[in-house]
Amino acid sequence: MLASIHSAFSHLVDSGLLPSMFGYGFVVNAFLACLMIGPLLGLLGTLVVVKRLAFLSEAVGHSALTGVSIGILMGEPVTEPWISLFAFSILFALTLQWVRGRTTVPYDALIGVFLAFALALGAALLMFVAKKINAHLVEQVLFGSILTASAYDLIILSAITLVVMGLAWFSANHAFLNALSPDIAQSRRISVTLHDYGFVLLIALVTVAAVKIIGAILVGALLLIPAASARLIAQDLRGMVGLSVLIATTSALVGVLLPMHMKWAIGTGPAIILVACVWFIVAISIYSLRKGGSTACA
Amino acid sequence: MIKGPSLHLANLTVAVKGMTLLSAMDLSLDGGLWHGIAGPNGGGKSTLLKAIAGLHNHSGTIELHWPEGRDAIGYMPQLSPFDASLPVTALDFLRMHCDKRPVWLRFKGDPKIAAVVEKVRIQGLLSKRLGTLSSGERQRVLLACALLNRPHVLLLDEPLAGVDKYGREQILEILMNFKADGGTIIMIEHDWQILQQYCDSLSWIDGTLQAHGEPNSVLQSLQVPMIGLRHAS
Repeated sequence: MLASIHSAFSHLVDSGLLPSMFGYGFVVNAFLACLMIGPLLGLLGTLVVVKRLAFLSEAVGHSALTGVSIGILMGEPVTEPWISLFAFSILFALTLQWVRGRTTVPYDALIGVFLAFALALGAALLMFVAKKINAHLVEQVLFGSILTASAYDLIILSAITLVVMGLAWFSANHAFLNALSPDIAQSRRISVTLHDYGFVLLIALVTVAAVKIIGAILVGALLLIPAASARLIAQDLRGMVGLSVLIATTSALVGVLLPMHMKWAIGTGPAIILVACVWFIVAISIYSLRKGGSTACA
Repeated sequence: MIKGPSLHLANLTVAVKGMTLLSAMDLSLDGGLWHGIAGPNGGGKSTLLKAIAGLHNHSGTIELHWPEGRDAIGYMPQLSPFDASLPVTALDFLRMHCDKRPVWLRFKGDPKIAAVVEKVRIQGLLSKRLGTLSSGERQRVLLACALLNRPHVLLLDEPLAGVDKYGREQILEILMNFKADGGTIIMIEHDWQILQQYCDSLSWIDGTLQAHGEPNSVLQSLQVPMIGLRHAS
């Protein structure tokens, strides 16, 4: 199927409808990955912002560092350490949630402890791993790369997209209610515990899905910035979700394709996040103009 | 016409995070009546309501005797701290409770939402953000949410707190209609005039049940004015 998509893109390039860079298979793969990563992170990001758990997505993103290092040490392919990446990130997220329910430490402080642990362990292992592999591969893990999205990655990304979209369709309303008022949610027999565990699990899944394009350091930022920007300008929750998905998707696409088109030697992760930051500045400007306008009217 | 359940508590003890907030409490409340709960701050009133709503683990028994075999509870908590800048409208909040379509898709109408919106008269509030609503408006939205599943019993934690006189009258009218339809109301309230005027019974709680009966006699036995009770303004 992927071969036929590549072939279709080649035809469009030959007919002059698309730029020549779409003649490369890896560019098409990255393009397809962005079309899935954008909606995924944009959608889940709104829940992250409503729950005020931006810090959690950062911590889970950094845990991917450790997962990759462990995978390489255990002999997984250097560019596709999926088993350890999934296993460690999910274990990290679930352990964090489990400890949360059994201590009185404030959640942000607990996340800070886990973040520090993940970063320290990941950095220590990466230094060790860097002696055995090409240092550029470590850079790819940290900041993402357009070259790394393989057919296998796209299959995994598609599966995660289907799972998240299915859950979002059937559980989004209850997830938002749980985020805004756990007491009301529980009184309506919505399992708060199940939703909280499901939430951190989804954060881990989408983080792993996006880490190869965006990189472990910055993946949390694409969960946060689009939703934070959308929150500034949206009038209702529907608008916030729609804008967040739009901003995340356009940031991913522009961040991947523009440096490629302009032949700029920068990582895809930083490029994507810089575009998202431009969106954030636009959102702040719109918000300030509106606020100024309403103050003037008053 | 509905028939609200009666409530029976026996030796109820509730501990939260290792701290006992209610102990060895016995209480029976008849169905179809309006019951007031009062007591000092920290006396365990909200804990009691949460335990009845199934939000707290407990020892002892909590039995709601449902005449029609239906077990729909409407719970209205105290207004918790809310991020006022979130773009969540009153309609978004209502949709989260019962709409089958995700809240990020266009609203195509829902008979349950339409019914409570009309009953609580919040048509004009639907497109407003929760953060921009006044206390009274927000309490009405919360009451609408509590009524969404057509409950037979309402558990209300200070529904009139921060509400102006006009808002109070609106909420009290809705509650009177609910009771007239046969529903049971269990309401935490500090205003003794409201308790005397509207409630059929009053339970005074301070760690356990201290007094129970007809509101006037309970308030007299406790030598009103009590600390923690206030006059209506």
